Amino acid sequence: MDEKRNEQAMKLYEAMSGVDPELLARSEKAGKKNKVIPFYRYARAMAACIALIVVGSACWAVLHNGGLKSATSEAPRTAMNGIVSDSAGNSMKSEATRPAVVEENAVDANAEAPAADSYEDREKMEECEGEPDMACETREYSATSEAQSLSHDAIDNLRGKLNMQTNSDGWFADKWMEVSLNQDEPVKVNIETWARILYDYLNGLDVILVEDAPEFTDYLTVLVYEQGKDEASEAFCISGDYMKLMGVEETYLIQDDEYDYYELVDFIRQIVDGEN
Amino acid sequence: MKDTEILDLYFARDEQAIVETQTKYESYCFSIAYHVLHDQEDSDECVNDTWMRAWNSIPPNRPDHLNIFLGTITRNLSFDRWKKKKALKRGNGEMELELEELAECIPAAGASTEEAVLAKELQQIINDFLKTLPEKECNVFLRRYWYSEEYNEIAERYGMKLNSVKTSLFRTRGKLKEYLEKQGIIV
Repeated sequence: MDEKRNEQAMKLYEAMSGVDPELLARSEKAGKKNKVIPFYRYARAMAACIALIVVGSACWAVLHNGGLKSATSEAPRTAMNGIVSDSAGNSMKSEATRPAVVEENAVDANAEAPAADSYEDREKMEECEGEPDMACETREYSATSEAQSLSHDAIDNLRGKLNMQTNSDGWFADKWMEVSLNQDEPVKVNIETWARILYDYLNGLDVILVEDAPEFTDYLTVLVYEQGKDEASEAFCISGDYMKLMGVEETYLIQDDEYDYYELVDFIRQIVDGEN
Repeated sequence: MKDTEILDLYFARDEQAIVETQTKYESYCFSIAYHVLHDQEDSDECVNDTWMRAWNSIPPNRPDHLNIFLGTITRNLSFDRWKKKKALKRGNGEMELELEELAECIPAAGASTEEAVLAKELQQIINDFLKTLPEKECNVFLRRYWYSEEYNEIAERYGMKLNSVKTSLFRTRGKLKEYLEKQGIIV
């Protein structure tokens, strides 16, 4: 860094000394919320919890022995599109190694699918706030049916803007598409992920590191754009091990909590409808 | 001892104030100093100097947040010491990294011949900017560029992923740069 820039940076750093103490206090207080509070300090609360546990266990034992428990076995969790997931995520991984599967309720890629019931989907999304577990991610992908309703023309429009090749088969048969950049080996990109790539590209980020859908946990897709250019200058696949990422100075992982899914879909719609 | 009681000791010019301050805030101030200097001995010296400065400035000051008041003194002292060490080509690269990041916020030089904004004005501008940010984003920014915490410490503090912290900081730096440019600020 040149000397002048260094001095300017130091000026900024020194100016930070005048930050409103209320803001600083707030930053300290916010951090404390996440700390574990030793339970033993709260004797009454602890006693109440123990009592609840005892009573709850007793009630459960009575109900269980009384044969009032439902006879239905616990069914595996399924998403709307029929993908089965378990809490260990094993079935998700096996999906990645198999060829594209046509699920029971596969969306017809050529038809305009009816818009998803956004309230139900939104409820499902809201249930999954915080660190998503595999089951939650499954339910999230069921909400991509809205994105799946993009027609071939709309997809071509998107492709034209970004000069990317896509495979000709199964555009949205399995809610993902293959993206091939500059004749490189095709990379599987989930629709939702793709929307995020587009969103960030249009907001001018230079480098986008995108984590693929859980179905494809083996891959991270890195797309490198120069600002103002339609074509990615570089794209490669790396393994889920971040240590293998080389040659890119800064990477930014797009997290699930960074964007509102519905905001993104609307944004994409505006583009494909030529409004943006 | 409560802060109000400690401040009363300062106002009574009772040297017990320093003892109580040290007991309550030594680790807090040391943490701030160490994040800047990454040197135990230098950090200890800055912290000790902090008590002296606090004694000399209270009264007339009666800060609402004693910890922040002390932390600010420590931060300034630490940074001054860091600058001296840098001039002597000593010290580590953590602070350099932080300054490189802050350099991204420097607005692009325009054709204006106006002089650079004064330090006090810049402080106010930065405060105004911080108040435009969502709380979480502001917190992360402050932890990095006021407290000089490292990414993983910030991530742990707020239960965030490491890359979320990096993303948040990247975006906030961009916003600050844009804000300063819109204000026509020259640093």
